Amino acid sequence: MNWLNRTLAFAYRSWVFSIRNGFGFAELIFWPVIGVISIGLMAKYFQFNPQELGFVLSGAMAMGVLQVIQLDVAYALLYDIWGKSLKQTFLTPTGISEYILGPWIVGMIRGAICFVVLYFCSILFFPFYLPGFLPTLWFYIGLGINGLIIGLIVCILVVLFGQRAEITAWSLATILMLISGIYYPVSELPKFVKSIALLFPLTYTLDEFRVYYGFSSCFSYSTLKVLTMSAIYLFFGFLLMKFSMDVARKNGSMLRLSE
Amino acid sequence: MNGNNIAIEVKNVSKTFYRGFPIRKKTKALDKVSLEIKKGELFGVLGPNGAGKTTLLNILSTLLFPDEGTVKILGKDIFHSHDNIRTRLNMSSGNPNFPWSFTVEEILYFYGMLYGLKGNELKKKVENCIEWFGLGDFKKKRFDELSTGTKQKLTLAKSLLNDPEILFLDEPTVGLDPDIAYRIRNFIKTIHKERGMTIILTTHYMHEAEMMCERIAFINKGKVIALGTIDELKEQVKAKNLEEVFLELVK
Repeated sequence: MNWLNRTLAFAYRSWVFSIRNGFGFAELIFWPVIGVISIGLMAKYFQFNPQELGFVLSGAMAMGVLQVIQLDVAYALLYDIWGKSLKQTFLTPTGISEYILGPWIVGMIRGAICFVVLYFCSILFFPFYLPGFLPTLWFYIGLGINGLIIGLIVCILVVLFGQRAEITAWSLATILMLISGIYYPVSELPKFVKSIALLFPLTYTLDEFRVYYGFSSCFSYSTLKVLTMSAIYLFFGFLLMKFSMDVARKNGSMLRLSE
Repeated sequence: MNGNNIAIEVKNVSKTFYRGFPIRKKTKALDKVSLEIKKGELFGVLGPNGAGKTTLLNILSTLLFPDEGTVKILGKDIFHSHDNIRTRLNMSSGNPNFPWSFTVEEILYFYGMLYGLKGNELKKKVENCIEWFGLGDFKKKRFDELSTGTKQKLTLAKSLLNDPEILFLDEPTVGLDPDIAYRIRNFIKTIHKERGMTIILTTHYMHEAEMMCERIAFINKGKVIALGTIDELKEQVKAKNLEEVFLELVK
């Protein structure tokens, strides 16, 4: 019960931060909207059919939503560092899972709002459609899990390498989207990059969703791969985060990050 | 000292910090520190700047792990039972920091939840803390709008949310006006008396230590150079007051 209470405490903190920083959220939505509209206009100019339009616009939407979700997870740590309150937080019996999952819950809510806004922008300006409730829900859950993994990696890097690793909070998701085939199938990537793409569940999440727009899948058992790889990433991610925090308590970086 | 009566047991604790790259600068913050603090004691840790007081407090509060030596808090080793220990202690430090856009009330609710409080129990606790520290007029004020004194009261209020058995106070009156510092000192004495809490205090103000502490450890260059009651320390260096003890010891 205390675990749930603490998870809710971190969700509460993220929620308060997000409602206090309305401008920040508008900014988060601003760039994805620009992305969706500009990609849509390009597709219109090149006379993409609705399936092709769905292919590229779903990539643009995924990019925006993923960024919102993973940033909320990363903000769990970044707000503590910026507010110099990290030591106050870790003086309490807080565990890593509560610390990460609480903000992720808020990230999923904010990500859903971003998804809906982007969807309305897409249907307003272009002949875009979503393939139905269940495939869309599964796509969103996939993005949510990927956002959790990316946010967790950002937190690990910041704990291990300090504030100079903060930049990953804004760059890592974009790089991964590029590798995982944001507007193209991964078969178009150079061989070396493609072999890297195969290591990320995001690749299979995007590939799986595009099947609903009539494109053939590059992979077999995509759902199974998303679930298995995500479970492995999360297991080792939480383990590594716990290890990083122990290192931070040992070398004093937890205190330095609070100064 | 009877084992059951010991709140904190520190044996041969050392801590070295390394900073800089590629040339690593080494700073030995604590060097084989050993001490025992009894349950219910108001214990002072004194020493000049950079002596290792805050490092010791950070180790005792599990925010920092020592390089060597053992630390037992309420009979439990800090490496193996830190989550259990953290529910039973709390800390208040000078120049505190909390989420800057949160109000006083939100800060107390948030940390209360982290200590496992919920529902009516949480609400009552937060209301009590606000009342005890006279924070009623500030409860809807954001942390970044508070004065230094009010921030100090808030961190003390936060540190009592979980009814800790051990409370660490790291320079609780630093930078405060004399009247607020006086009120905070009285409050610390009151909670110590009423709740029988073990309190470990670091301070730069000798009169504060003299007024409050039952026993004191002097630390200099990472080592405990003197330990005892105020009378014992005065006797040891033939001093009239704690300030003279301090000056004599750090010579």
